[in-house]
Order: sequence, then structure tokens, then C-alpha cells
Amino acid sequence: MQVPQRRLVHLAPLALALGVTVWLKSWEGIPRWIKYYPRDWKVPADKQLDGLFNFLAEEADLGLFTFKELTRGFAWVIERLLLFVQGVFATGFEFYGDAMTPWLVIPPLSWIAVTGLFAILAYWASGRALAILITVFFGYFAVFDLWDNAMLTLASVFVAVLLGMAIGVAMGALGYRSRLVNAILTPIYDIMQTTPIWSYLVPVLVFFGFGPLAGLLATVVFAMPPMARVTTLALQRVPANTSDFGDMAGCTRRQKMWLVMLPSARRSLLIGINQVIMLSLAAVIVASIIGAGGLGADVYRALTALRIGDAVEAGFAITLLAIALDRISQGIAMRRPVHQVDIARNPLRRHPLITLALALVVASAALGHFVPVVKSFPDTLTISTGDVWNDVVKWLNVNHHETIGGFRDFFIIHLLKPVKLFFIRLPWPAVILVSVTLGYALGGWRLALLAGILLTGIALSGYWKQAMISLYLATLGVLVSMLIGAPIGVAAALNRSVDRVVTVIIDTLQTLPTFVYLLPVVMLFATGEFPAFVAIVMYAVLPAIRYTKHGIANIPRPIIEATDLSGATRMQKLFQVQIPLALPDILLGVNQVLMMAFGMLVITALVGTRGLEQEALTSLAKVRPGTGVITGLGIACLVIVSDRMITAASVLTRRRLGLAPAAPAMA
Amino acid sequence: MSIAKPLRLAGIVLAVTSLAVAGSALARSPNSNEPVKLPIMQSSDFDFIVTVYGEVLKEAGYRVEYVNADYTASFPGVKAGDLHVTMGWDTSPDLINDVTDSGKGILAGSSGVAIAEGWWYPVYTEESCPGLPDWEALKNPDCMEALSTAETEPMGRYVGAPPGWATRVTERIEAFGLEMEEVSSGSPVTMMATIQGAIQRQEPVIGWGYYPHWLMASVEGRLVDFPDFEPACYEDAAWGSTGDLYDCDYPTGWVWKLMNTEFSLREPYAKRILFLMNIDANAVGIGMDKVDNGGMSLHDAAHEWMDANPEVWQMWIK
Repeated sequence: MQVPQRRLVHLAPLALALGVTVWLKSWEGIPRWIKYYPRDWKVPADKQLDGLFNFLAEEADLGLFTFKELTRGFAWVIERLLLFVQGVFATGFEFYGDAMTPWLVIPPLSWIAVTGLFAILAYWASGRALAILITVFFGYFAVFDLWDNAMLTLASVFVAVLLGMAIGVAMGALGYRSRLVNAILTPIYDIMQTTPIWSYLVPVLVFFGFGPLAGLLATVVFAMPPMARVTTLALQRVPANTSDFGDMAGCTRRQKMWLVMLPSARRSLLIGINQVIMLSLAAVIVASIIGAGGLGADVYRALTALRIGDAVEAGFAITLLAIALDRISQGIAMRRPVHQVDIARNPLRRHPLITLALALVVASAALGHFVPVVKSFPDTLTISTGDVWNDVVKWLNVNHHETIGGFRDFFIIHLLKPVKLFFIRLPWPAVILVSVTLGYALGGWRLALLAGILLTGIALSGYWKQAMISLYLATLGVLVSMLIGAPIGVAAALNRSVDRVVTVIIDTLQTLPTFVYLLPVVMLFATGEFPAFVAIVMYAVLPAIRYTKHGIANIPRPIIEATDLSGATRMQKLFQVQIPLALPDILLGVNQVLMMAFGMLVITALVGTRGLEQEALTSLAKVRPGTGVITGLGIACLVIVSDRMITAASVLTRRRLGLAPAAPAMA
Repeated sequence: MSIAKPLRLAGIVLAVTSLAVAGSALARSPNSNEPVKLPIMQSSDFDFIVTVYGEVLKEAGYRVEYVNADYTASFPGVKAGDLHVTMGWDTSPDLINDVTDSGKGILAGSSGVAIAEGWWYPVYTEESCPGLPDWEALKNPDCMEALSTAETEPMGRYVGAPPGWATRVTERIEAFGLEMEEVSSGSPVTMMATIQGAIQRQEPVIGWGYYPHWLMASVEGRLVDFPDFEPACYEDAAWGSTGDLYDCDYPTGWVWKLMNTEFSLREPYAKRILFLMNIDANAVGIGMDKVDNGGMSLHDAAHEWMDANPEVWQMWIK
């Protein structure tokens, strides 16, 4: 019985730390510096970084050229690529020369051509059903007059994915080749993925200027890490004999990587690309709020101008675009490569789909000259349901203001507010103390040290209160998500027809970009912490359901059979066997819930939360890159500490139950 | 032959006169077809003024591109040359000075729009907070109780502007030691909707308000009185009664026009148009009302004003 003893030893300091906290909280004469982190103790890292960024952006001279010229030069190159893709899909090309009027105008691909191209791609990737679905989706963009912005968003996603893939595969291959590089890169990816997108938008804005490019580069930073991680993992999983074959065949290092390793890892890489696409879409939508236009800007502008109807239509278009991109890229990932080559026939016949696509582009471009309908969807045929939605919202506000307001205030007064005050009023040294001891109990010295350093860093930065507000919303979101999600997950694990319904719903909801979730909550509850909280729960409940279901469904059959044989009732079986055994998986689920909760929390800054995410967003409006980076890192610290704690807890329960350690999850 | 000669002569005369015309037009035309970049910040007063300038530039032959940018962000934008023009409110003198002091931006005179900004409330709020408009009335706990909501209670709610507006409300709350919480709004429209909602229910409310604005023009209200503004108040913490910065009222004044220096040298014609541009607060108020309440686009609102006042803007491009 060594394990319980060890735990007792570890729990003693934790109990002590909690005791100190309670004592500090109840102590009347508590010194002010313990209660609130003193303003004078703040390390003005944010202000200094602001200065550094501004110096770099405005004055720094690197000898031959200035730093500004360097970044702007880089921006110019990427911008050509973006403008080209945007030109093809959305804006067309105008060549000015020296004159005031263009001497050559090339229109973008017509709506018929783009719809046709995507339908052909969908047919190739998956089949007729998807092709029809895609045609309907793209028809929606045209009919609801969202075509141009949908194409702008699509073009940004396209370029972001291209860059994300290129950088991701290169970094991933580097990480595969050297263990040391991988050890350095992994925590950097962690930080890149957990830092709110607002934080990189500010420096990007300062260095690369206003316009579509800033959003694009921030998107790449946000969406690239999963590609790199997947590449490293996929390469590591290439069977040793395949890799040996490459050596035997006398490949050079480069040949082996490009001709043997990467093709063998194809399926995993394509799954990585699917993730990059979905993350890029989510980020492009958010990033389009600043600078460039697109569907995200449409939704945001409509929301802030209180034109709910327009916001709903554009939000629905985002949803359709997300589903379309997800299905097509998954279809491509699942497709079996064809190794048969038919040399006899001419190239046009050999690739009928490509021929069809080319014919479509040429025909629509030629026809577009004579028949305007082909060129652009006629305005007279577009419709808008905007007024309907505006009326719905008006009706809700007039007839159900009391009910909805009462519901909201009830939760604010009895749940949100007390928890918030509890978090804010916890003395800051006590929070650090408890975290350190908890880290020690769960994962030993290293975790204790990590928690201590990161949390002290937050205190030093002077954003302690904001960090506690973020933490309170995220924690409450996780708790409520688990309370709602776990029972649904259990029900889905035990009942097949429930499972079928639940799976379809969560699969669809999970492809939606975070931003879309803001729409319904703003319609119902206006702005503030309550709608933010509801959005967090709606988004974070999905992994709560999925992992609980997974945990219970994965319990080895012999154990279940043994339980049935011993004559346990259904309730006994559930509460004494299934749930305890599923606990490690459920804890891993809690971790995912936490990630999703923080991911959504960052976006809810747009509806008026007050924590670190709001400081980061505000820094964007005020052009304070240093503040943006510091507050963003604050969020990353919170996420990393909680993530490591929960993972350690999962490992601990697993060991206590005598289960094998969990296999590392893909990305 | 007898016909051809006078024809040729006429041709020469025509060529010479057209050259002369082109010569005089040189100073009155754009020097390049690079688009002029103007900021749009999703606040109809700022956007209306900028759009009028942009549409007039188009009449003068320029290509114009509108770029989304926050108010505060537009100043470094003008410094860096990412934006060519912005408008500065006198309530944020530090932002304007930062641009002109750097030498990378020039001040192109007042836009002619007189402004007043501050902590605005509908008059009936004085019943719950006796002593207003003097700021000391806000120290009264009963007043804060009346202004509080479920979310801010026990503190009073301050309906704040979007974060990029540099309104220094939280700074003033701290400087004066008030028990208020600034709840910032995502946009001017949601801010005004919150204030309007409170007015409809006759609830006491205090928030960011400014003139010209259609809501402030249609509802009787006042601005809270703070100690008079002096430039030192924004720079020297020792100034004033509290030992903090921003312990004073907001400056009143004008909307100022700013232009990127390099651009002003490259395009003297656009610079001249900006200097001459002058529009009165009333026109801006009407334009805002049309955009915010009438659902009109900025482009249409600007052109409606231009159609009604051709003699005004045609003077700018002559």
C-alpha cells in the first residue's frame, strides 16, 4: 500500500496551503498588499515592450535598411500572393499603368465557375452527394448577396492554409530530425496556440500595416502549430521498414524525406491539413474584424450596428463555408490514392474532371462578356430575411424582456457574481501557494515550480485581477459544461439511438468557428459576462459529452461482463464500475473542455467580458503591442498551468486504477 | 489647299490651347493613381466627415480606398503612412500632438465641427443623484445604488465608449475615487442603444455622450461638471486636487484634420482640398442620424450632403 502513503505525504502541504488561505481570507487585519497586488510592485514590462515595438516599427535601423523596410518588404511579397488569390476569386484585376483609368480589367471567376469548380472538387473528393450539397451552399452565398465577402474569406483561408502548410511541414520535419529541436519547439507551439489571437494582431499591425495582410499573418501563427505537430508525429509513425527501405535504395537525405517519408505519412498529413483549414477559417473570421472585409467583418459590423438579421445571414454563411471546407478536406484525406496510370489516351481524356473544370472556366468567362447573369448573380434575385430576424429579436425584447432578463439576472446574482467575487478576493499569495502545493501533489517538483513561476509572472505583470476574472469565467464554464455534458455522454454511451443523434449534433457543432456562437447569445442576452458564459458553455460542452461517452464505451468488455455476472443493478454498475473506470478518460475530457473554454473566452472579449482577453483586445484598439503580448501570455500561462495539472491528475488516477498510461493523442 | 491651311492653323491653335489648359490643370490634378487611404472606424460622426472628404477627392480625380481602423489606431497609421488622413478630436490632444510632434504628420486645420464630450446623463437622473451636474454628487452612495445593475452592484454603472476611443473614464473614476464601474461597449451603436433603453424605462443612467449626436439632440441631458480642463492635468500628476492624472474635465473644441507628411508633399492638391474642407456640426448630426437610424450607407449620406451643397465642396477642389 505504497501509493496512498505517498499521496498522504503530498496532500499535507496542500491542506496547509488551504488552511493558510482560509486564515488569510478571514483575518480582519489583513495587510493591503496581501489582499490586492500593490500597484507599485508592477513590473512595467508591458509599457517597456510597447516602447520597444514602437522603436522597432518606427526607428530601428539595421544598417543597409531599416527594420520597417524589412517587415514592409516581407509584407509586400506575401501581399502579392494574397492579392492574386483575392483577384481570382473576388475582386478581379485592374491594371492602371500611369493613367487614372485602368487600361485592362480582368473580372474575377464568375459565381457559376466557382460553384462549378467546388462541386467538381467535391465530386472528386467524395462523390455526388457532397457535390450537390456544395452547389446548394454556394447558391446560398449568391442568393443572399454574400458572394463577394464569402469569396474574400475563402481567398484568405486559401492563402493562410498554403502558408500554414508550407511552414508547418518544414517545422514538423525539423522537429522529427532533431529531438532537441522538437523539445524546444513543442512549448513554443503550446504558447502560440494558447495566446489569444488579439495579442499577435497588434504587433502584426504595427510591423506590417493595416489591411488584409495583418489578419492573414496572425491567422498563420494561430493555425500553423497543429500542422507542425501532426507532421512530426506522422513521420515518427512511419514504419521502420519503410524508412529503412529508403536508406537501402540509396536515397539522399532530401530524397528520403520527400519521396519516401512524406508520401508514407500522407493520410496523417491530410488530417493535419483538415485541422489547419478549420483553424484558419475560425481565425480568418475573427481577424477580418480588423482590416480586411469578409464574412466575419459582416457579422461583427451587423452585430455592433444592431442589425441582427444581417448578422444571422452572414453567420449562417460562415457555418456553411465551415461545413463545406471540412467535408471536402476530409473527403480528400479519406480518398484512396490511385496508382494505376493510363498512358494510352490523350491528357484531356485522361483527366475528365480537370478538363471539365477548365472548360467551365473558359466558357463562363467567354459567356460572361455577353450574358451578365453569368458574370455576376443578378441583384434582383437576391433575397434577405433580415427583417424577419429583426422582428424576432424585437418580439423577444418586447414580449419576453422580463423572462429573459430575469433568467439572466438570476444567474448573475446567484452564480456568476458570487464566484467572481470569490476569485477576485482570494489573496494573491495564497492562490500561488495553493497552486504550487497542488502542483507538487499532482506532479512533483517540476509541476510545482512551473505553476509557481508562471503565476508569479502574472502577479508581477500587474494584471492579477484581470487574470482572476478570466480564470473565474473559464472555471465556471468548465464546471457547468461538465455538469451538463457528462450525463449526456453517459446516456449516449448506454443507449445507441441517443448516441446516433448526439454524434451528428456534436460533429456539426464542432466544425463551427467560435465566432458563430456569439450570435445567438447576443441576440438573447445582449452583452456582458452572462452571454459570454453561455457561449463558453455551449462550445465547451461538446468535448465533455464526447470524452465521457468515449471513456465509458472504452471500458474492457470482460470487466463489464464480470459486473453483470456478479448481479449488480444498472445503477450499481454505472456508479461503481463504469464511471470510476472511465474517470481518467473523463479527466482528459476535462482538459479538452478547459481548452475549448479558454478558446471561446478569448472571443467573448467581443461581447464585453472584463478579464485578460479584454485587455488584449483593448490593446489592439489602442495600438499597444507590448500590453497585448503581456496579457496574451497571461492567458497562455493560465491555460498551460491548468492543462498540466489536469493531465497530471489523469495520469495519477490512471496509475491508481492500475490502468496502462494513455496513448498520446494525435495533435 | 486653300481649305487645308486654315485647318492646319486651327489644329495648331487647338493644340496650343489644350497644352495651356493641361498646364493649368497640372496643379489641380492628382500626381499619381495610387489610392488615397482613409480610415473608417464604425462611428458615424468620424466616418461621415472622412467619407465626405473621400467622395470629394473622387470628384477631384483621386482613387480612394477606405480602410477599417480604430480611432486610436488611426494615429500611428497616419504616422507610418498606412493611412493618409485622419480626424482628431480635441478630447484626445495627446494623440494629435504625438503625430504632429513626430514630424510624420501635419495638422491641416479644423474641420469646422465644434464638439463637446463627457459624462452625459438625461436630466431626470438628477432626481436620484441630487447635486448633479457637479461631480461631487457621484460620491453619494444612494446615487451609485440607483445607477447600479445586477452585474455592477454595489457599484454604479458607467456606460462606456468602445475601448479604442481614449475617453479616460476609468482613469477619472480612479482619480476621483468614485464607486463606479465602466462597462465598455462594443460600438457606438450598442452604447447608444443601452443609454436609449434606460431612457425608455426612465432609469437613471450615466455614460459617454458627445455633441453633435442625434440622441443627445433629442433628449434633454447634461454633462457632468469636473474641475476645468488645463493641459497640465493630462501631463502632470501633481496638478489638481487628487494627485492623479486626468482629475479634470474634458477639453472642448473642434475636430482637427491630420495628414501624413510624405503624402502631403506628394499630393499637394489633396492637401489643399483637406485644408479647405469645412463642414458644420449640424450637417454631421443630420448625416449621423441618416446612417444610424435611417439605415443609409455612408456613401449615400455623403453624396446627399454633396448634392445639397455643391457650391460648398466645389470651392474646395477649385
